[in-house]
Amino acid sequence: MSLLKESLLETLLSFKDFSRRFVRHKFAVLSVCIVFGLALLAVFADIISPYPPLEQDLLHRYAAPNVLHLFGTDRFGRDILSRIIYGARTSFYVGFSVVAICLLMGVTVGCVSGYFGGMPDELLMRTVDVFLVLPTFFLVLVAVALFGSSLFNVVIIIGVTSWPTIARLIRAEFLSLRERDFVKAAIVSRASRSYIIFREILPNAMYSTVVQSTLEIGSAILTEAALSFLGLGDPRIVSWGQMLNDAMYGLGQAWWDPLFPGLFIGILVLAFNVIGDGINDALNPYLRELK
Amino acid sequence: MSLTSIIAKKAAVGFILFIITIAVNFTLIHLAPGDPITYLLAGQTAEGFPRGYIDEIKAKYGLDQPIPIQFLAYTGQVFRGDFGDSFYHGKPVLDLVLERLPNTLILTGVGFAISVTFGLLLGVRCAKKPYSKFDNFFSIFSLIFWSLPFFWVGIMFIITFSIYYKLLPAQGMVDVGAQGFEYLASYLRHLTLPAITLGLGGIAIYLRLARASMLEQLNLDYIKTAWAKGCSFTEVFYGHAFKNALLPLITIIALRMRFLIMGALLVETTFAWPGIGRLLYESIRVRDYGLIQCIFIFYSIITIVLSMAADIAYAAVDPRLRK
Repeated sequence: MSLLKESLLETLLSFKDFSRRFVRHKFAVLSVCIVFGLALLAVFADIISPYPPLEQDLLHRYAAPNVLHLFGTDRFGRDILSRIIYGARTSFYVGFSVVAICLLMGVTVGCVSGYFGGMPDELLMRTVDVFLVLPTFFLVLVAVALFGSSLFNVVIIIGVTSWPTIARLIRAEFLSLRERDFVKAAIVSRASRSYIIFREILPNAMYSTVVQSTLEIGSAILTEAALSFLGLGDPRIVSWGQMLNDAMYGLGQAWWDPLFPGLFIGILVLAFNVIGDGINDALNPYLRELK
Repeated sequence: MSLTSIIAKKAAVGFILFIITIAVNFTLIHLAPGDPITYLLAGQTAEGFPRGYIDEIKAKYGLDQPIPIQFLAYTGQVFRGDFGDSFYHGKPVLDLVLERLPNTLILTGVGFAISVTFGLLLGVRCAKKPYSKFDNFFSIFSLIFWSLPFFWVGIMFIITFSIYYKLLPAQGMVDVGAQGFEYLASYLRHLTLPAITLGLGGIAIYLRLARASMLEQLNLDYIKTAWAKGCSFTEVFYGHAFKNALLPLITIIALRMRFLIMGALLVETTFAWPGIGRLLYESIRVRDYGLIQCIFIFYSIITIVLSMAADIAYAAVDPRLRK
């Protein structure tokens, strides 16, 4: 465990250089602010939100955006702005949980596969290949249909169908880094296997993984939105995708009903994608130095 | 290695993957909570029935056999095309699926064509002058559309073009009662919005890839040689760089095929397009398990066929892979 902590510490120290390069990309910085802002909304939803998200006001259904309801109301008279704020919680929860699962499973499998090679590698890669051929979205749909649509299930299912990408990435990095001189030097100095994996190879493999993870957050949010849009999300919580599903009922009556949820999904995912690009650009010159 | 032997190999791999998909399908259904008996009895408990009746039912459906035997029986059924009847629609499952399959294939095909054509063309054009206004505009444009949920874009299209401007139809596939030429015209009108929605998101990926691939090629030595030789711009750019840039794109395009089918499901639901995506959605809502399984298998077949075809195409285009 202390080996992991030491490698993390080393990574943090190079953070200063990375930040310097990252800040040069104005859009990336803007995206970080957007994500941060939405995260604040999500965390302080109880305080910021003007109305409770589930409170109905049947006298004012489908009200256009006005002073009382800045984003208007939906078919039950619920304030859309409040629902957007609470929906941010779901999006962040799904995004980060799915990536956590992906990283946990993907890094483990990738490390084992990439470092040891041979039989474990073959076995694990065949499993990954099967995942790649299965139509994953349908697995998600069918699994939700079979096992129920709680948010927890949704997160697990999306995570389980997304980890192969990360595993492949880590494995590829391991395969190429394994042959590098600094690794051979470590082996010759009789370093233990854990030392080599955790302190030499893994920190270098994490660069592209971090980029892929940010993209994965966006992808997970979109997948959850798609599931909720089809009515298969958790009906007990507010989700932007679910708001889009509701909007389908009175389609055309209220342009504000579908506009805002979709717009916010797009903004959040776009922000994560731009951040991922920014990280990629900021890390690349560093990688060039390594090579 | 000749092309035929590669095709044979890929066909064999595809077949094995198909068997695995059937196995996954079978496992998923059996992992579900509840058992088929409860489903057949429509929720009533087993105690209310005369002794031996449950055993009769089990024997009739082969549910008292050990699991491996059940699996073999299921595989046999799949290969014979016997998927049973849909309890919701009252028709054989296979008929339902085959009725709607062409609709989905056409929608997916057109959407895919839009994505790839515009993506590649724009990407190459962007690579011609990197970081120019053209390049920046389209790169940002495609990134935005990649991030937006495309079913939402579809809804926005419906609101704008069907409701406010009354230009294009909102849902469905054809106008009722149209014949002959009218049928074709209304079919195309109905196809426009869904196909564009489907294609728009995909443009982003192919644009970025084509651009990156082209830029990579343009930096290579053989291109510099060609410039030095005095070849015309078209010769070098399109004749050499473009052709070599296409190779990695084929693999990526193949990998992306799966997502295209998923996209079709969402677009079909939004636009009420009668394809198998929408059929799957309906069957999930009513828990029509027979139909769900059949569609799942069909989608798997499509995915496997497409990815094997892509591998073969890749080998056909690049002779180095045939060794």
